[in-house]
Amino acid sequence: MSSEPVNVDWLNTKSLKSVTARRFAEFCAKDFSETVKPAEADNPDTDLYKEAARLVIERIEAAVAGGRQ
Amino acid sequence: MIITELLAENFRKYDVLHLESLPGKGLIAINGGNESGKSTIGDAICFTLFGRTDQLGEHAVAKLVRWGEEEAKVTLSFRQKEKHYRLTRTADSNGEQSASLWCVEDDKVLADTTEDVAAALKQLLGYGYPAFAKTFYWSQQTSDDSRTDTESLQAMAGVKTYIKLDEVLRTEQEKMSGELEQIEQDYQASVAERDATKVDQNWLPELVDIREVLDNRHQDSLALGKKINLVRESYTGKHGEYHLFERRNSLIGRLTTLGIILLVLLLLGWALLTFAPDLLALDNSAGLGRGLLWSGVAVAIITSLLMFYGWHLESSKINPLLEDASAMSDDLMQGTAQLNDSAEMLLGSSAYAYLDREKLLKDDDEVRDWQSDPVHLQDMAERMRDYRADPLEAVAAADGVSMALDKRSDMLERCSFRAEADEIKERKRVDEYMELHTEVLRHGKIRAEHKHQINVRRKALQLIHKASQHSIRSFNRIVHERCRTLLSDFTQSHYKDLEIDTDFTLKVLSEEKGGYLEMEEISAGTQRQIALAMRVSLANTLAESTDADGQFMFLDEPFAFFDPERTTATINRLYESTDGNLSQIWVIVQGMPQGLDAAFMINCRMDSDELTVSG
Repeated sequence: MSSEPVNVDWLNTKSLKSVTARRFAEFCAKDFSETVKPAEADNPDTDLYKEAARLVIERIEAAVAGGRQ
Repeated sequence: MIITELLAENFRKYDVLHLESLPGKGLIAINGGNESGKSTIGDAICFTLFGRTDQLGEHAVAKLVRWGEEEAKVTLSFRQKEKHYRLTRTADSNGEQSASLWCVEDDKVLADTTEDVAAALKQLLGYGYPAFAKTFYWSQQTSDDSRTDTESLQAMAGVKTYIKLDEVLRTEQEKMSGELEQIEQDYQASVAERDATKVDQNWLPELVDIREVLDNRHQDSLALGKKINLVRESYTGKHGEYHLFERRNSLIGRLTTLGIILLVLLLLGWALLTFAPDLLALDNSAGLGRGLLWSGVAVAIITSLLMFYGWHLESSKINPLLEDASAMSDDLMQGTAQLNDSAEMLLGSSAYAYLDREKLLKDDDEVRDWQSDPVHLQDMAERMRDYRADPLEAVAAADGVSMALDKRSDMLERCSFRAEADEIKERKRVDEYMELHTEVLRHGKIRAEHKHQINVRRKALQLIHKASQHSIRSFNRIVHERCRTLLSDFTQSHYKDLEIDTDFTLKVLSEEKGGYLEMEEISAGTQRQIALAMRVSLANTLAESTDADGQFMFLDEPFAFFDPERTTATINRLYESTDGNLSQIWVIVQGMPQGLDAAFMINCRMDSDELTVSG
C-alpha cells in the first residue's frame, strides 16, 4: 500500500546550524511523517506540532549560539 | 588521538618529565608507590589539552607550577588522523596561561591563544573537556561519582541540551499556568462587568425602528392634518365655484341643443325651397332658400362657439374642481381611516408594546370618540367627490377629523421625543457595552493565546521527551552491546548482562542471584568494575564517533579494590581493546599486577624529580 509522503519542509533541517537542532529536526521529520497522515497535514493539532517543534529548534539554536550547550 | 611524546618542565614535582617514542598501540603502564608522581603524568596530559586538571580548574593552574619556579611548561606531541601535532601550554605562578598548537606536517601554527587552541582542539578532536573527562580519563575521583557519569552519559547520548531545555520549558509552562489563573480571573471579571450592563444587543435596533415608526406616523398625521385643514378651508369656495360652472355648463348645453334643432329646421327649409319649390308654390322660393341657408350657417357658427365654450368650461374649470373634490374626499377618507385605526394597529405591535410598557399612552390618546360616526363620514366623503355634500356639513366633518388628527399627532410627537431620548440613552449604554465587550475580547484573546502557548510548551515537552527517549535508546543499544561483553570479562562472568534505562540507571544481571540488581545492591568493588566496563564502552563509542585512527585512554588506578583474578581478567580485556579504536591505553598501577604485559613501561620514583623514558 503506497501513501503520499508528508511534507516536512517546514522544519528547514538544512538551514540549522547546531548538530542537536538538526538531530531534533530529523527526529521530528520522522515522527511527523509517522504520526500525521497527509490529509491531516493542515489540521490544528498538526499546527500545534509544527509550532512546538519550531519552538524547540529555535531554543536549541539559541542555546548553542549562546554557548550554553 | 594518539600521544607520541610528552615533555613537561617544572610541572608539579617534576623538574623534567620526558616520555618519548611512545607506542601507538598497546598498554602504557605507569607504576610506582604513593607520591611518586604517577597521577602527575595524567595531570600533565590533561593540562596540556584543556588547561586544567581533574582536580584543578583553569583558575587554579598556578598550583601546577613546581615549587620555587616561575613557570611550568608542557609540550604534548600527538597524532590525529595521520597528521602530527605539537601542543604547548604554559602556566605561570600567577595562574596566567599561554598555549599554541602547531601542525608538524603543514609546518603551521594553528592557534596561539588559549581560546583559539581550545576551539581548534574541539574541532580537531571532536570533543571538549567534559566529554574527555567522562570517557577517556578515569581518575580516582570521577570513578566514585555516579551522578557525573549520568551527566556525561546524557551529554554523549545527545540529550543534555534536551534536558536543559525541558527544565526551561517546564518552568515556563508552570509560570504561564500560574499566570493563566490571573488571566482567567481578569477575563471573568471583564465578562461580569460587561454583563452587568444588562444590555440587550437587539434592543437598540428595535428602539431605532420604533422611533422611526413614531416619527413617520407623526409626520404622516401632520401632513394629513394639513390636507384636511385645506379641505376645511377650500371646500366651501370650490363647492360654490363648481356649482356656478355646472349651472353655466348646463345652460350652454341647453342652448347648444336648441341651436342644433334650429339648424336642422333651417337646413330642412332650405332643402325644400331648393329641391322642391313646387311643393310650397312660393314666388320667391330661391331667395327665401338662400336666406334660410345663411341663417343656418349663422346658427351653426353660434352653436359651435357655444359647444367650444362648454368644452372649455368643462376641461379647465369643472374637471379640475372635480379632481380637487376627489382628492379632498380621499384625504378625508384617509384621515377617517387613520383615526379608525387603534394606536396598536397604527404603530405595530412592537412600538405599541414599547409605549404601553413605558406608560406613554394616556387614557385620552385613544381617539375613537369623535364627533361623527365613520359610516356617515364615508358617505359624506363619497358625496364630496361631486360636490354634493353640503359645505357646512363637510367643513364640520373636516374640523372633527383635523382635531382628532392633531390630537393623535401630539401623542405621536410626545412618544417620538421619548423614544428618541431612550434611543440616545440606549446608544450610550451600548457604547459602554461595546467598550466593555472590546475589553472582554482583548482578555479572551490574551487567554486564548496564553492557553495556546501553554499547549505549545506541553507539546514541545512531549516532543523533547520522545526525541530524548529515541536518542537514549539508540545510544543505549550501542553501549549495551559493547558493555555486555566487557562486563562479563571484567567480572569473570559473575555479571553477564546489564540494562540501561532511559534515565541511565544501570541494572546488572546476576545469574547467581537470578535477576537484575540495582547498583546499590552490588559491592563497591563490583560497582567500580561495572563503572570501568561502562567507561571503556563509552570511550570506544566516542572514539568511534570521532572517526580518528586510534584514541588514547588514561586510567588512573583502575584496579583498586579488584581482586587479583578480576584484575587479570580486566587487563586481558584491555589488551583486546587496544586492537580497536582505543589503541593506546595508559594504566596507573601500584605494583605491577600479574599478567600485565606493557608495551611501554614507566616507573615513577618518589625520590626523583626527573623522569625520562624512551620507547
